[in-house]
Amino acid sequence: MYLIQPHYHAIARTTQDYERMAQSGVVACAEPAFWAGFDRKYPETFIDYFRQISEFEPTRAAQYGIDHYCWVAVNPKEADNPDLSNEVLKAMPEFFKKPTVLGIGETGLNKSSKNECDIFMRQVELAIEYDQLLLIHTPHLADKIVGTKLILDMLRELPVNPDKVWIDHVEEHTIRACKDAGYWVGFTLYPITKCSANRACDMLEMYGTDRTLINSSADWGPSDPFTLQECVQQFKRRGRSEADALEVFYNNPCRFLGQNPKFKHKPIRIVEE
Amino acid sequence: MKLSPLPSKQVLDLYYLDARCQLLEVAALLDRVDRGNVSAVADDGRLQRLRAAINVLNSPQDQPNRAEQLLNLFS
Repeated sequence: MYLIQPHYHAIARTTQDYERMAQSGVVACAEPAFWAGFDRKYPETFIDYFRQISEFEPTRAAQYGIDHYCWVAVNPKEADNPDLSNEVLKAMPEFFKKPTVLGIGETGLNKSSKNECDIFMRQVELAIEYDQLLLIHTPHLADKIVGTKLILDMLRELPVNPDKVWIDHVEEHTIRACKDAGYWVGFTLYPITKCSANRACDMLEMYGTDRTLINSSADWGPSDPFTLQECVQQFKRRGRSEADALEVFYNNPCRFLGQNPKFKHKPIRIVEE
Repeated sequence: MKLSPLPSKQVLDLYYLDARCQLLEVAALLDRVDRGNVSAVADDGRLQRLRAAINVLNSPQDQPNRAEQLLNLFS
């Protein structure tokens, strides 16, 4: 089955991931810019990072037939450093011109500080100004519900098109508000701290499959890109058809990411001969 | 060799997130049962044992043997 991995941090992974993902049907992945595990000091470090995910990673993925796309942003954690963040923001529009950059992400909140909120708003404004897709990280664990509400409040203050906004890492206590407001939502299949394959399948049953992007967000932490395939398996174990799985795990990413014409994959359907 | 128990704070530091995750899975499973035709399984011993197990988890213990109690319950 064709699969798209819409949230994947290749920079933190080995090439073996690409090989195995390709063997299991992944034809495209998208890599948001994120926190490297330590706070960077220099704007230039971000710019080199953006170069790595927009220039080098597509070549590494292409060796296995995977189309690699990316997003650029100041992540919520480092957004707490406004001087650094503002310098990085100045450099981002140049990257919007790159052939595989799909938008601004992942921005959002971590601890929901004032600095984080300011830099988040700046990045939302930048996305509106340059007509970019927007990928929003919601906080972890106990910080999630407060941060998600704050994000929704801030988005309401700006003329964003909800069709172009993906609010990621939603769980049972945050999904309803995000979907009701018309945004795309992401279920992140991350061991222990985020969503499991079975809970993701439950939320698909409870809230429908539309405007939903299931992803692994595999990074340098204890994570696994194959939680996506595990979710496909659990989805099918519940008696769902191949066509339904294709809708969720391939066509939905095509529909959201395809709003940027640089993303070349299109929704497909299974037709019997 | 007798091994001393971990200090309670260290237990929480090490295992809180694991337990949170496992409880969420159980909660989601019970929600899943309720969303289906729950009346069809009202007399199902497996569901009754799961509910009894939750009571064991929540009960005060003179001795810490909840895992043993659960295994006896599921036996």
